Amino acid sequence: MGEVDTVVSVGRLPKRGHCRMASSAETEFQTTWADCQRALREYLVRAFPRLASEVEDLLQEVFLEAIQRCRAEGMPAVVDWRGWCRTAVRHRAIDRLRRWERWVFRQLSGQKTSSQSDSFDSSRPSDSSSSEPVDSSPGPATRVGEKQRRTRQGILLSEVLAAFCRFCEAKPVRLKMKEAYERALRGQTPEQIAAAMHLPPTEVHQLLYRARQWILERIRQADVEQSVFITLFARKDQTPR
Amino acid sequence: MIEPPPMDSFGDVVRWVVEELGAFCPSPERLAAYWTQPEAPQYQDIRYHVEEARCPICLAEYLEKTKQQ
Repeated sequence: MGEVDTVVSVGRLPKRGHCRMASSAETEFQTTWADCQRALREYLVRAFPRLASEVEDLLQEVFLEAIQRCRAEGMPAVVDWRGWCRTAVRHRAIDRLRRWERWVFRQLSGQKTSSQSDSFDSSRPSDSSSSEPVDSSPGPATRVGEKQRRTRQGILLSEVLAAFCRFCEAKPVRLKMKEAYERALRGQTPEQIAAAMHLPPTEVHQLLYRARQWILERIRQADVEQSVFITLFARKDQTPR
Repeated sequence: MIEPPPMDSFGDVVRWVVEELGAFCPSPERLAAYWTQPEAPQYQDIRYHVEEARCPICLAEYLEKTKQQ
């Protein structure tokens, strides 16, 4: 992490060889950061308890990102730095969890890597060459195709579900489908869903069927090579309800 | 280093993505509208997501917002 490693505490940049006058945007950000750093830390731990041990690292990332933004030419001004910081830490946290998701998919699909067969470092970029499996036989073109295929696999689940939510939210008539499918993925049976949503069971079955069809279609579109992801999805013993 | 949850099957991953990665979180705009009108019928899906499923991400957003006000 280079520069980040030299940061003694969150909110302090390493000393530079020359004196630099802080811009008004930077001063404004630094003031807000001092005020909201503790709240951001608490927010991260509440929202992403899994990342509790990485909170300081995440805050450093966002702090440096904000400073770079302040110093960059032509960036639109940030009106609400507090809101910007919260959104930024949320995105960074989800990015880290997605790297893990990608790694887990590779593990589940039997694509163990030479350098990370049994452990995962969330701070390591997921597309680094060290995370690629060692492939002794295929040529460069095959390897590129394989890498692209795995990249698509890795982003599928959380992104497809998020896209499904946006699809449902675009029209009020689809919101029942979103709720029913979320209930199903969280473990409720169609009968329980029908009772909770005050719907006839047949309607719930239809909603779940349409949701699964949408998800599968989206996966087919995103993964034209019929990836292991689809194979896993179709396996009866591992189908996510 | 993150402490990993048990993820032995695809189903485990799905549950993890839904419960911890916010895969079913509403858009920020709808979530904000829900907080102002939590009983409105058009936010029934969010009521389930927040009040019954108790999504930690949305609840943390809410806590942050109330602190600011």
